[in-house]
Amino acid sequence: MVIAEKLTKRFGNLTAVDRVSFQCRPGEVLGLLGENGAGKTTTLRMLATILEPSEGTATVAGYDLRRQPEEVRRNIGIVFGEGGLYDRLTARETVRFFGRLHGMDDQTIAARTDELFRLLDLAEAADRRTGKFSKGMKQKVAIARALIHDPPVLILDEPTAGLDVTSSRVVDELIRTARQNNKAVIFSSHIMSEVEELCDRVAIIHRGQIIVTSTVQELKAGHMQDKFEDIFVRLVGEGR
Amino acid sequence: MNWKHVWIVFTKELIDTLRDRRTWVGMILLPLILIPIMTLVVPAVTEGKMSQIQEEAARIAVVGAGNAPELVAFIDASHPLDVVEVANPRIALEKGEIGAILYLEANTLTRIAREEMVGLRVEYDSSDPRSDAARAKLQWLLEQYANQIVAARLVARGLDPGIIRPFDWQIANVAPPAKQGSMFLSMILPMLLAMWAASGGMYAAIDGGAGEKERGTLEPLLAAPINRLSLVAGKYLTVLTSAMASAAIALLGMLVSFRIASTGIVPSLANLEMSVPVVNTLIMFIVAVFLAGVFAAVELAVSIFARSFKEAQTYLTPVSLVIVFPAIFTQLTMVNELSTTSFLIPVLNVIFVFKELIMGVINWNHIGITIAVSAVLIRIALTLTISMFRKETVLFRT
Repeated sequence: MVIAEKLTKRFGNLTAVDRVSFQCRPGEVLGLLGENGAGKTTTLRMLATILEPSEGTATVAGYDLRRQPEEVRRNIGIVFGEGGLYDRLTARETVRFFGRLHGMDDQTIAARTDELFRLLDLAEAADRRTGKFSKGMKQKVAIARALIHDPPVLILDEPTAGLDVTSSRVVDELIRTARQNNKAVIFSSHIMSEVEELCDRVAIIHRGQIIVTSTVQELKAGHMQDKFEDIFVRLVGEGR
Repeated sequence: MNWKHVWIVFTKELIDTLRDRRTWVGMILLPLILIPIMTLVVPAVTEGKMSQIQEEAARIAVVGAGNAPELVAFIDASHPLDVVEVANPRIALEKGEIGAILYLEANTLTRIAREEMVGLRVEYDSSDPRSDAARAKLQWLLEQYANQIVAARLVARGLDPGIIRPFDWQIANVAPPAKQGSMFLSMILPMLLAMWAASGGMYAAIDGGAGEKERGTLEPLLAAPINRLSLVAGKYLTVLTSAMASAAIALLGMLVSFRIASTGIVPSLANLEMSVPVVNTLIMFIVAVFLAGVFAAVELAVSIFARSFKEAQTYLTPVSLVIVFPAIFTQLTMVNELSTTSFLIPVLNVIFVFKELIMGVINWNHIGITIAVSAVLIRIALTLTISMFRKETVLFRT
C-alpha cells in the first residue's frame, strides 16, 4: 500500500513535483503517465527514499517516508530505467549483493535467486558477468535484484524504455504476476498502450501536478473517446 | 554505522575492482616495472656515459701550436688528451668534434724562458658535458706543466720546490658506498612511492562514485536499506585497500631494484640493500598507508561529485601533481637540514620521512608528526566525503 500526500519537490526555484497525492493498494497497478520532464522520475525517487520531499510525505507499506526511511527501503523493490548493473559482477553476485543488504542469509538468497532466475529464464546466464548481456537480459537481472527480498511494493520507472518487444513482455509479465501476488505496483511510462493494458488506474502528471487520477475505462467513458492516446493529449493540452 | 553492511559493500567493491584490468596494469604492473627502471636504468645509463667521457681521451685543437711545440707535445703525449688538427676549430667545437680549443700566443716558449707572464686562452662549450670534461683535463694538464716550470725556476734560484706547497692535501670521501647510492635514490624514490600510495586507489574511487552514477546503479543502492555512513565506509575501505596494495607493490618494486642493484649492475648503487633495512621499509609502508588514507577520501569525494567516469578522471588525474610538484621542489633538500616544523606540511612531510628512511635514518619524532598530520587530514577529508554522499545536489547533479 502506498499513500502519497501532497508530495512536493523543489530544486531551487523550480517546483519539479507539486503537491502530488495518490494511492496504490495491494494487488493494484498504478500507472504514472506523463511527458518527459513532467515529474515522474522525481516522484518515484521520493517514494524510493532517494530524494527527500520538500513538502508533503508518503506512507509506504505503513511506514512514513520521512520518519522511517530505512523501513520503507526494506519494503520496496525498484527498477529505474535501464537496468543499472555492475558490469564486472555476475548476475548471481549482483542479486546476492542486494539480498545481503536486505539482511537475508546466503542460503535464502541462493534459493530465492534460483527461483527468480528460473522464472525469468536467466538460469543459464546466472554466473556470467552482466557487462556483456543484452539490454533485455540486463533488465531481467535488474528485476530479479528488485524482487530478491520479496517486497510488498514495487516502484518501476520506465522499466521498458529501450527494450525490444520480447523483453518488454517480460516486464509486462512481471507486473501482472506482481499484481496476482497482491503487491502494490507503481510504474511510470509514456507509452500509452502499455499503460492502457496493464494499469488498474492511471495518474496523469503534467508539469509536476497530477491532473487526473482514474481508471482507463472511466476516462474513456468520460471523454467519449476510445483512443486513450487522444484523451491523454487532450488532457495534457488543457493543462497547458 | 553498520559493520555488516560495511563488509558487504567492501567485499562487493573489492571483487569489482579486482576484476578491473586497469587496476592490475596501473596499480600492480606499472610500479613493479617502472620503479626498477627509474631507479636503476636511469642512473646506470648516466653513470655509464659519465665514466665513458672520463676514460676516453678528449680531442682538443691548438691554435698557434708552432708557438710552443714542446707544450703541445706534452699535452698530446698525455693519456687524457689528444691534439687533433682541424680546419676551423670554432666550428669543430660547436659541432662537438673537439672538446676544447687552446690558443697559444706568439713566442710562448721564449717568453716563458724570459719569465714573462704568458696569456693562455681555452675555449669550451659548457652545455656539452664532454667539452666540459675536456676543459677540466686540459686545465689540469696545463697546471701540471706550470708546476714544472715553477719548480725549475725555484731550483735555478737554489730553492726547494717544496716551499710553494705548504699543505700536503689528503681529501677522502668517507660516505660509505651505500649512502652514496641512496643519495640519488632519496631524490626519486620518495616521489614514486608517494605517488602510488596517493593514486593507487584512483580507479576504485572513480568506480565507486562517478561509476555508480554512470551505470545507473546509484539509485538501487540508495534505495537499499543501508545508511550512507556504512556505504561510504565500505567504499572508502575499498579505495584504501587498493591504494595500500599499490603502495606495497611500489615498495616491493623498490626492494626488487635493490636486489638487482646488489649484482653490481650500477656500481654506485651496489650496496643499497644495507642502507634500507626491513624495519625502514615497514615504517615507510605505514606512513604510506596514512597518506593513502587522505587521498582515498578526497578521491572518493571528487568522484561522487563528478557526473561521469570521464569527468572524474579529468578531475583526478592532476592529483599526482600534488605529489610530483613538492617532490621536485625539494629534491635537493637534504634531510639533515630540515627543522621539525617542516614535518607539519602535509604530503611534503611524507616525502621527507621517506627520504630519511631511505638514507637509513629513523626519527620517531618526524614519523609521529607526519602520521598525526595525515590522521587529522583523513578526518577532515572523510567528513567532506560523507557530506557529499548525503547531498542530493551532488548525487543528482545535472
